[in-house]
Amino acid sequence: MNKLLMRQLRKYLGPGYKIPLEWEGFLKAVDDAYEGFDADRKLTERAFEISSHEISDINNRLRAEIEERKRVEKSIASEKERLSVTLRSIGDGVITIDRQQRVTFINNVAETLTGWPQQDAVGKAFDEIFVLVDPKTKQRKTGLMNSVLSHGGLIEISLGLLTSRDGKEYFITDSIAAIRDFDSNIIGAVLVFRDITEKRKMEDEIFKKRKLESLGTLAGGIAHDFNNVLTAVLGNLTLLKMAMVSPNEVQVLLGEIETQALRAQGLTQQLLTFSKGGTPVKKIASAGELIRESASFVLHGSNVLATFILPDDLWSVEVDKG
Amino acid sequence: MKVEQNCWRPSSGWASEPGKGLSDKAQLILLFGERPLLKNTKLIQDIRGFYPRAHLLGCSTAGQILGTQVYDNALVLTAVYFENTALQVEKIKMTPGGSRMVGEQLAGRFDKNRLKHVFLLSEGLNVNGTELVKAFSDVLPAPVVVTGGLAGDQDLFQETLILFDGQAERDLVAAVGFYGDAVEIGYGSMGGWDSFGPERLVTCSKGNVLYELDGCSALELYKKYLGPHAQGLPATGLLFPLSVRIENNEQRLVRTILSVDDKTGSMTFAGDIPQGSHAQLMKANLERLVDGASGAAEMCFETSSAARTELAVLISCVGRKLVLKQRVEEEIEAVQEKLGPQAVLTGFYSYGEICPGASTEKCCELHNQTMTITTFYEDVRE
Repeated sequence: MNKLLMRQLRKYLGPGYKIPLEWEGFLKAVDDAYEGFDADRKLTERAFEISSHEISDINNRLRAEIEERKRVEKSIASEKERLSVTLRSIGDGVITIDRQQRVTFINNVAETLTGWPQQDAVGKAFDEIFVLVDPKTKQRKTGLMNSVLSHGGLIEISLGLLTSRDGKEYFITDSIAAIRDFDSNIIGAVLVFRDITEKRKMEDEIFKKRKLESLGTLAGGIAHDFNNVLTAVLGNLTLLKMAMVSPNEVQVLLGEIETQALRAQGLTQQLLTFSKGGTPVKKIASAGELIRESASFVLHGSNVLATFILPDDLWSVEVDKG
Repeated sequence: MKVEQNCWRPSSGWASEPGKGLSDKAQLILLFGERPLLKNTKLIQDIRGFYPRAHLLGCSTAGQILGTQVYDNALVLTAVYFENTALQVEKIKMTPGGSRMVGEQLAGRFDKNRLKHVFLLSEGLNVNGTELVKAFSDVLPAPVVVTGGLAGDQDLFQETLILFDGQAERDLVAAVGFYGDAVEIGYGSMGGWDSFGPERLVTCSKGNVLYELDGCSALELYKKYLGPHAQGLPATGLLFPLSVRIENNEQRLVRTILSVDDKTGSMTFAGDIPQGSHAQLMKANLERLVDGASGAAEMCFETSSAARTELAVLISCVGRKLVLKQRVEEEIEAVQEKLGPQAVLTGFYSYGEICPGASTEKCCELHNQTMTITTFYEDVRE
């Protein structure tokens, strides 16, 4: 019998109580109820105790997970900030887009070159803010991102002319790459481009400078040659004055003067051609003859004798004889 | 519609002289009894003699309901005579093909024309109740509602029987269909159990057999919670039914244990516990169980004019009886109070209940740990 029921019977019926026979069924029902209540209470308490421990364990695990998540989130936020600062500070223009080709990020350099500040650019269609034309054909280049967004990979464009929002033009080179998620799905693309306008200007200047230097060298050479020509003309004229005796000799000397005068004319032409940036006038000529003429011209009137050893089958050359 | 009731007990025989009023008229005799009584051939033959024109339909139980009394060792008889309602009674043997196939075949036998309701009784140990009732929902047209329950066997979980006409058999499923517009049938089902403790992921299960929760043995978890009561498994498992939430569905189903297998560490439940669903242990709160029964009766008012109920079949889970103990009649009284004194109550304590989950639904489901009520009223003017 349940202890509580026994105590109650003792309390209310006295220490030496006797249960009447007709009460037995009733008392058994009461006893069963007491026992059942106690059993239920114990079971419930046990269940709650186990459950509390389980929940406590789960709570601890959850707390640890939350701490770890916070740490990771902080780390990610820091990394994100660092990445953002890096991207914004980088010397190249950077623009990222999503799969719908809407701008999701634009850094400082890209803002300057396109003329679109970040707050205006984000969410806009890429083709709206990035106006690129072919420098030679002046034709607009559109759909730059299509291929990368469809197939991934990397696309490099060697030269393009970017027109900013306010109409300024920049020569750029760029590269486009796909952005992928953890499952390697393409979720967007990144465009990195560089302003090479100044570089191109500098290259032009260097080219011009080199051309001028070449011109100076050439002019020096030509002046030297021209001086030789004039020396020859003057020499011959002197000789002509001294030998006004024989008409035949005069003829020869005059012919020589004419030849040298023609050479001086050729040199002048050459100078004019170079200074105008034109191309030399090349003609087929005998190399041997050219060597003989030049040497004779230079040595003319001197006490130096030139000896020529030239092969008979010397090839002709294509050359500007001037 | 006319109803008369009787009760046979081994100690005292029939409570009143049987077969007096509806002897020649009753078309349906509902019989709910303790297993040995259903096997009493002479007793069943006598009943057939009392009601020669009636179909006998019943099952073994974990407790019998007659009025507001609950019996453990009785055979409760309810004879019903319908004036304007046609009945069709069918049975089918469970086959290795599975509960779904059995359900489809049995449901397919009913004439869909003017079929209003099907009351289903199934054996309670080997059936996958979820599959069985789903088959009925799939085969029968939407307006037809199915209610009923799984047979019980006290808290022994050894053998359940279905009585169809003359003989009680194992592995049987039987059903009665009600035809016509005269009969008005309401239904309601509610539990009243409280979930407690952590929600656990079902990491290994197959159909209605559960192996693991959160990667650990489900059977070991039950043993841990039950402590010394674990020796009483599977019956004591009824003290901690499982609340199952499938995926992100907010609706929860309650599942109770039918059997355990120590060798495989598995637990077989009355309905499916899908892998990937979430399960939480439940515990009883006596007041809430009684409130649940009252709520089930209230739900009947949403599906019918329950205030004029003539007959109510109450099918309540054996787990409730195990918890309510001597207070078990309180839930029956709560139902009687709601339905009114004119309602004749019968029913039984079961291993599973069949009813739509809500008054707005027609699709039936298998429930556990609920009070499930089917109310009948017949309009005799038609």
